[in-house]
Amino acid sequence: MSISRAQERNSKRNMNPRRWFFPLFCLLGLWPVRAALFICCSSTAGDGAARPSAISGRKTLCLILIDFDTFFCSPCLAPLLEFCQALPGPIQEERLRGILVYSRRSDESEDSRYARIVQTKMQGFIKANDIRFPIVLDEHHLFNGLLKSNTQALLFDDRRQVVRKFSFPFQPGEKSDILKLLLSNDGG
Amino acid sequence: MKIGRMASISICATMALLYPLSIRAGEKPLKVKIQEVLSIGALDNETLFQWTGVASDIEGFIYILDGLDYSLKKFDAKGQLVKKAGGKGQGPGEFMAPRLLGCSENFLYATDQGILGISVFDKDLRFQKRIPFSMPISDLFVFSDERIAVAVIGFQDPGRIVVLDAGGKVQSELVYQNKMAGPLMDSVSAILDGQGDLYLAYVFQDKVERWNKSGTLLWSKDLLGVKKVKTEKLSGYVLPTETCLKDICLDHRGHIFVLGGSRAKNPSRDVYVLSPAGGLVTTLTLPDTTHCIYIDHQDFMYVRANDGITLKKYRLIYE
Repeated sequence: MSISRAQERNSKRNMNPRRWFFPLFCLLGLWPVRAALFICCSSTAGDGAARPSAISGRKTLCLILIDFDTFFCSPCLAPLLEFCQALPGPIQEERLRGILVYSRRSDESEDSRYARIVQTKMQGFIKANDIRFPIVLDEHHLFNGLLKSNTQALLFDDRRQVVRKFSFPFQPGEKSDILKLLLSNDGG
Repeated sequence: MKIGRMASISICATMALLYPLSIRAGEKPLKVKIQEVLSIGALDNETLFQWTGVASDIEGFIYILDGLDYSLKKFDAKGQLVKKAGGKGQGPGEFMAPRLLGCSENFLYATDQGILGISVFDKDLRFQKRIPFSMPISDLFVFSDERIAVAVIGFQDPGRIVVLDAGGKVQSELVYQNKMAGPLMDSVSAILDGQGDLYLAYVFQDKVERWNKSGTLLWSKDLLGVKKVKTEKLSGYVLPTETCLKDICLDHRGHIFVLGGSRAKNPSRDVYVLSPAGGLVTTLTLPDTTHCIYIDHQDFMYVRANDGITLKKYRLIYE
């Protein structure tokens, strides 16, 4: 997968994306949820119960699967941008990751060329909208099946130890619930 | 960014089937070739991300609206970025979804799908004012610093062309459809010639028309043989989901260039060249898909490539 500039910037701030994506993939079904959270949060389940969570402790994380088609439809893109803007930059950098999902082209060389088009557009999108969290390209179309329609948010709810899926635009109340969890420091 | 390789992309395929048509219409058979002279934006740089509108001035500067970074950019004749303005927002000089661009002697006129009205900039991209206009616009034509025309998208009323003064006051209006064909079905691209005659290409109907300045229909032509486009019911409205004709412009010989939409043989690549009398003269096929075509005062044609990351400038060669 290609790494965006925002991601490179964050890597310099000791935000290695591998720390994020490995546990997130685990949560998508490869490993049991509890084991993934264990790795992701760098703390044991027992620790969480025994002492209050600090900023470096267990936190709710969010993986956003961005539908590339929304780039061509500003009303479709607006809910995602509003959601991002509601989160301070440091929280975006720490708790959000994005994957840009686009449809596969019929032949391989065209798909490869199209990946470069998508990547260039992604850079423009990140810069123009002051996106602070890293976004990577789903170059191998791993997430096409998961993204049936619209951009989606996968919330790794550490408090309930479950993954919750939300589609943009959020239903009433969903946005505030998600923001509350992401902005919370107490393990939520 | 670099000057194009002057690769002569002569795809002017004058289709054998079309010759009889043009001869029947009494037109002299013509070939039109295109030759690349300039390319702005490429996959390995961040010059353009998704350009939407283009205009050029008499000094050779090229102005481009970019929908993905909400900007208006000015390039010199060699394709070097001179200045960039805009930014995301609804304030003065900002954009939400920039779309169409027009140019007069001193000003640039930009429309935005997310903001009503027409934003006016000077040639140094300094925001001047916003001309108030309360309807969504499907096309824009600039006569002068004092006069512009817009094609209004017909959603609940039939589509029409409205001529505005610099303050947004309506000077004249042409309703080109008596009866509404359906939401959006009357949407057109429009262009005016030096005599004030109006040419319309219907986006969702297979129809090109020429009207004189008195409001009389001179002729109407179909190009694709499409009776009806597919529609879909969305939010209670039946809306078209296919396009017939996407854009229209004129060269200085009076030829009419019409870009075919999704129903064309080569979707968004076929350009039909018509005589002033409406006869089909030839068809050329562009190397890449485009959402618009623009011909400047020197008969250079500007089109899109790489899904809006690249703008290509072609010289039109007539044979």
